[in-house]
Amino acid sequence: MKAVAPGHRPSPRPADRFLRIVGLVALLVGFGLIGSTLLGFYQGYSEQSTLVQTFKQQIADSPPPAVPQATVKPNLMVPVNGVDFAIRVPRLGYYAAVKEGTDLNVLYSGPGHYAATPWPGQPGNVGVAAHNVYWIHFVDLKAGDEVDLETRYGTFKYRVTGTRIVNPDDRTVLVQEPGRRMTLTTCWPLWAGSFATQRYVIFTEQIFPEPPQQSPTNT
Amino acid sequence: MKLFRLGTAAGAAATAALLASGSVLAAQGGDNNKGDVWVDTASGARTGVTAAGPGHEMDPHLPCGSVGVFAAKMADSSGRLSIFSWPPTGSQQDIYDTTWTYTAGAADPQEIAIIPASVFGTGGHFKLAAAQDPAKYKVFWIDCTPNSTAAAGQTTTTTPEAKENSGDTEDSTGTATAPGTTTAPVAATAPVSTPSGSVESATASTSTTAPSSTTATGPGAINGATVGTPPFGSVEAAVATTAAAAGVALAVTGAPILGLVLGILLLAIGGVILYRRRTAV
Repeated sequence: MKAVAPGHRPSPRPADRFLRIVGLVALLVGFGLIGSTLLGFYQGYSEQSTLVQTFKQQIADSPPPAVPQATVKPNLMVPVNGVDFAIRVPRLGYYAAVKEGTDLNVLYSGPGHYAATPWPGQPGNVGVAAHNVYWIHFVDLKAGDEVDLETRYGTFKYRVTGTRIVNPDDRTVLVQEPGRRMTLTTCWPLWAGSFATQRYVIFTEQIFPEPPQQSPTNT
Repeated sequence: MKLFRLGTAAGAAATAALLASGSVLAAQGGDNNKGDVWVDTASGARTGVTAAGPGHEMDPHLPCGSVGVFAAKMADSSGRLSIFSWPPTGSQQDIYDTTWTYTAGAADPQEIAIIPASVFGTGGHFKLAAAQDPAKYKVFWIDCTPNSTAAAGQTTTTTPEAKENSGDTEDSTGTATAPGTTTAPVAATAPVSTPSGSVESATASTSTTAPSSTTATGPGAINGATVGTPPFGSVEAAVATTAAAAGVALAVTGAPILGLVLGILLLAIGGVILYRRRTAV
């Protein structure tokens, strides 16, 4: 048997060395992934804060009418500095600037407005989407709760009429029907992030300004 | 008859507005109307852009979404740009005004303006007037099929008929080139305004004819101008299910936590490996 001198540390075998390198690389990549994800969330949060401040400043500089006009100039229904309008949920103390579009580059920092749906104040169904973790408390919203959309041409108030969990390919949610509605969509379960497999939908109807009366043939 | 007179008057007013918008700029850039202007899916890049469509060529049919106004070899550096809702789906109303800017000496083509998607509502026929000396005009369709939003950025097919409509000067009588080969151009079950009033949804199991009194609702009704679905007469949407053709596709809204989960997993694996090697030595 080979004697080992006191204090002498045997050199690691190649397999041990390889495993150690693998372990170190896994740690480094793991830290990198966590760091980049958290950095992304921070950047999104930071951009959202900036957008909110910018939008509030715009509203302060040019206050909209207390009651939105019946006819809004299309020139006002365009994003300014990247922001379409703002969404407020009084009961949850939620306030966020809503950007135009719903792709990942938009939603990383907050809610987005479905570009193919109307703007607040137009007839039809306004669609707004956001990442589920940003709306983690939205499951608390119940029928009767108020959701506001603040625009540069006035504030539109909506009342929650119901919620539904649907499949991602459901095309019955954002339909354009007579009346004035707003529909919020996010992924379900709310905590599951990108692993969510369904969609959570919150339906609302406009209560202020009171929508024009529909003819009896329309709902 | 009265409606006809009103329509004629509206047409005359719109034509006068177009001429006026052109004459405003006549003084700015001198007597020079050189350069090309065309529309395509918005790229977001400013100069030297390669448009989503067939490059330096008018795309008369664009999917739902923001529209980029492209230009090359322009005489002026800026001017007014107006979008009109245009017959047969529109009523020649000015629905959007902005300014186009062109950088002389920079690489062509350049994206001189971007028109937000909200201007076009649910689509239809539109006319662009880029005032220079006097102005350049383009007419184009925004086709809001159920999948067209997802298809934004992809090349659109230009039909032979449509190509004839891609010149710089355009027939101001309002006569539009009907899309030749466009299929399923609308969400047929959504309430839309069509002059013919006959919108059929040819689903697998049912066939529903919308009432002719369908009102102009939705984003297409801008400033009273009905900017709706192109009037294809009897529009057939051959879709598998009614639901599939009804509304907008839902966005992917799962927060990007994959990196976080993978990172935690790798940390755990790396930690276990290093701990075991350390205790084994």
